[in-house]
Amino acid sequence: MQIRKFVNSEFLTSSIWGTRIIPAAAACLVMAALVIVFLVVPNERVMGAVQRIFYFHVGSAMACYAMIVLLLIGSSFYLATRENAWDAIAEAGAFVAFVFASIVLLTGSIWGHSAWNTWWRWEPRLVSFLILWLLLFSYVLLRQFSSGAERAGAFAAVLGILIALNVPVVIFSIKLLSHAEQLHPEVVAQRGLRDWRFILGLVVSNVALIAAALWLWWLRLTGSVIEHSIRLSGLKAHSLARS
Amino acid sequence: MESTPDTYWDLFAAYSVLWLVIVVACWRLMSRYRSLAERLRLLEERVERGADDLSHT
Repeated sequence: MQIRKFVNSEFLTSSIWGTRIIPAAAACLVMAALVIVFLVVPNERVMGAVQRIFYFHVGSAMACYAMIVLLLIGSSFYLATRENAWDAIAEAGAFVAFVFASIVLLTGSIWGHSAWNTWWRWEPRLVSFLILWLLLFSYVLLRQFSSGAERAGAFAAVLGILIALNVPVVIFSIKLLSHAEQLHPEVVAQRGLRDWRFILGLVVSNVALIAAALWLWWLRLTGSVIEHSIRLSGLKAHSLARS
Repeated sequence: MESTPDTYWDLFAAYSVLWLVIVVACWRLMSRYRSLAERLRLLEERVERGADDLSHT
């Protein structure tokens, strides 16, 4: 596959996917999710209104994982082919994953404080997610402080694969302790969503936030590709002027 | 509209406005990228032409 046919400034700024379909889908789906979460879904019996943060919390986690899939694909293909386009795909995925991972931590803390009277607890799901967030943060720092360095792409790709390997750990960490020993609920697996409106809210908010993440990923990818092209053209013009 | 305890129009309005601001900002950013890509294409054409002229002289 000729990835450079798709990852270039001309395609990214003119493709109907990035300029019309994904933005329109994200805009409409997020609005639909807001309507369902705030106007359709009933109050949860025990937690009340604050339970509505669950839809943004879980949706952001799904969007984060979707971006980590892109990070994994980009990093693996970059290590195999050393094609800069794959590196740009991975980098954009990591940046957006970091944003959504931060939203997950923030909404989780707010929810925890309102529902269980604690901002944080050192239990497997929370700690493993914090490690994921720290790994994403280190990826972002690595890219920020090594722009232009030749070997940074390879280092970042290895870190990207490590980040992706941590995702199954986060997902299955909830099984390490019994439900009585941890606060983080296992809502879907324990069939906690009995009303169809809860399920509708969860599905629509998940799809909406993944669409929003894809749009942000496209924008970040476009920005970094244009920046790289400007740098290359500048270098070419400079060498021409000198010769 | 009458509000029942299960509906939160105030939160809905606040988050809708926030989302609208994000959508407009992203849309404007893409427009900016589009104009940058066009200028970049013109620059690359000039550089190519310059390289051709140099190779002919």
